[in-house]
Amino acid sequence: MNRAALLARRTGQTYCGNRGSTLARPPNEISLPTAQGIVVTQNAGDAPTRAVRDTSADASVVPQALSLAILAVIADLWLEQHAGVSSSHTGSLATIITAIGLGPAVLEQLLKKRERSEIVVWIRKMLRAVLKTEIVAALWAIGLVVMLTRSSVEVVGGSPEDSGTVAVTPAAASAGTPISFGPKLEPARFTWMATNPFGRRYTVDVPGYVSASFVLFPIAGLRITLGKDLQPSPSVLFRPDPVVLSYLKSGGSRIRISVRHGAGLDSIAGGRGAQSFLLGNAHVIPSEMLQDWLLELGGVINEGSAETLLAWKHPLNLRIPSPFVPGTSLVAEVFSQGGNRVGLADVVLHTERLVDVEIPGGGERQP
Amino acid sequence: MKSSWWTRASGALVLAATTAAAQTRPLIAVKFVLQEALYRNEYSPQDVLKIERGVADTLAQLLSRRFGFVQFDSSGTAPQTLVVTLNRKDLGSGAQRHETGFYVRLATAAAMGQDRYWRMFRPIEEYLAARGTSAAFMKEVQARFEVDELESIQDLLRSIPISTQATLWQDATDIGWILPFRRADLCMDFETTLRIANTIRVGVDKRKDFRAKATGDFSDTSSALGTLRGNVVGMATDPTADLAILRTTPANAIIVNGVFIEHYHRSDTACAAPAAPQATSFPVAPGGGPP
Repeated sequence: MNRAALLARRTGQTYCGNRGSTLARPPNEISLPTAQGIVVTQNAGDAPTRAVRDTSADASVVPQALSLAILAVIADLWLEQHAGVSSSHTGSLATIITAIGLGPAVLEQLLKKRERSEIVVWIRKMLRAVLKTEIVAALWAIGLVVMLTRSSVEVVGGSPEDSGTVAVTPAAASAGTPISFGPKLEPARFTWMATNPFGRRYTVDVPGYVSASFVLFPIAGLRITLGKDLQPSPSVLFRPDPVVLSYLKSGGSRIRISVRHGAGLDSIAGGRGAQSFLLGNAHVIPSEMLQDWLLELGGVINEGSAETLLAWKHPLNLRIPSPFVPGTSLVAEVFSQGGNRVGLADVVLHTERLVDVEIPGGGERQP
Repeated sequence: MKSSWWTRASGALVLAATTAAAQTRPLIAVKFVLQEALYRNEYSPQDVLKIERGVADTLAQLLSRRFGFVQFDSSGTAPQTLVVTLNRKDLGSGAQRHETGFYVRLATAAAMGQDRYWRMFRPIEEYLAARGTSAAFMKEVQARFEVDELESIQDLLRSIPISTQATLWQDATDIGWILPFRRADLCMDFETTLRIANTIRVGVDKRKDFRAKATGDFSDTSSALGTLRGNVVGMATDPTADLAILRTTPANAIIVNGVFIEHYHRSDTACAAPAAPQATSFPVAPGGGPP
């Protein structure tokens, strides 16, 4: 007989074992839970005569509760980081705190003492059920798996004016669904992105920027600022001078844009018409540029200069196979209707977003 | 008066230094050069050649119509070539826009000749205007020649002798030259003025030019020059004092070096239906006008 049974014999109490008060109980006895974990045992028609201490209350749930709380805090932070939601954001935490604070007072006013006791017991039972070590461990395991295999990518514009769409796709996969970002630095957020503890590579495509690939690690996720982490894709405005423009007025004349690869040229775009030609992203011509052009034309608006300015101001946007990257060497050639090269310009792109390149006449020199 | 002079022609003294046999008009090749880079680069080399030939053909036809005393040919070669060049007017300017126009020169095998600006093709405001297709451009160029502004051409042709032969003729009051052409050969009106270049051998050779005016057809059948009947006669218009040397110099010492047209007056009537030689009068041919 153990020590608890001996104590019960000395005090006249019935020993019910340490795993539930319903064991070895006479059929005419019922047990009532008490607030202190004491089970009061009595015969059906008798006043309570004996109380048995519920030793299950001795198993502390504090470590589990603490562990679960830590897990909740971590989950909350993770969700805020990777999903943009948080208990503090949604107000759920405040609701819980308020409920905890006001709940007892409300219950005290609404319920009888015995009913309150029953609720407390029920809550305790529920807590004990939830705070079982196995459950807490399972929750931790699930949380860790999620946190190590899911992450997020956030892309934000470089300035409040930036806006557009961004697509984030696993490397070597087809382009995914683009998401909008901006203006006012509103980010585009890709959540629940698959990754692994060692990171997974993703390609980020933003029109107007040079596509780049990044490794998405768990926990921290990926934060990309356009213009800083992703270089702007340079656009080029090829602007034929007035003489070259005059050739482009004739049917059969054309412009050819090529990328220089060593000594060779690979044609990437072509166009016709007496105007300027834009390759890359659509741009509004800055007013400063227009003023510079006017100065080039002698600073006077007349019939000739006005016609030229209008031709330069409204470029024809030529399609290019892929966005330009800094370092690209381009050559523009203008051919007359007779097939003679009458204009030639070349440029090496840097990081400027819009490069203005004049095509002077006299295409006799070698490109 | 012409008529009174010619009525005395039968009794005139012929001082023929050179017998003026019938001969053909001088042949001049016509060439058009599209020199302006803006235009030349516009078209393929084949098209440029086509334009140059087409315009040269047009020029040859036009000039043949206007200047009946010369044969113009755009297809062959000749000792002299009339070169018409389309180029910018201000050749030394670095400006972006230019007036473009035509230059003319007379080239020989020995000398390229000096370009002289003839007339405008496009004003400076239209320098960068569209050129159009090669056919359209050729038409535009050809259309510029339809306007009668041939003074520069006339100037050049003044240096071309239509003949190196002429027969000096004179009587008591007048001096003239019988040309080796009939009026129909030259489609020439009797208002045309001539320059007769001579070498007069009086001790030393002396070059002397005389002015003359075509005033009629030679009609003297009585003299030894009867075979020249119907040829054009140019009467000297220089002052009498300047002509005195012709009277005092022996006929064999006067050598005609060339007959040049100073101001040509075309006569379509004379060209289409040659006038019959008239013995008694040499009326001014109707029609014609300044070239």
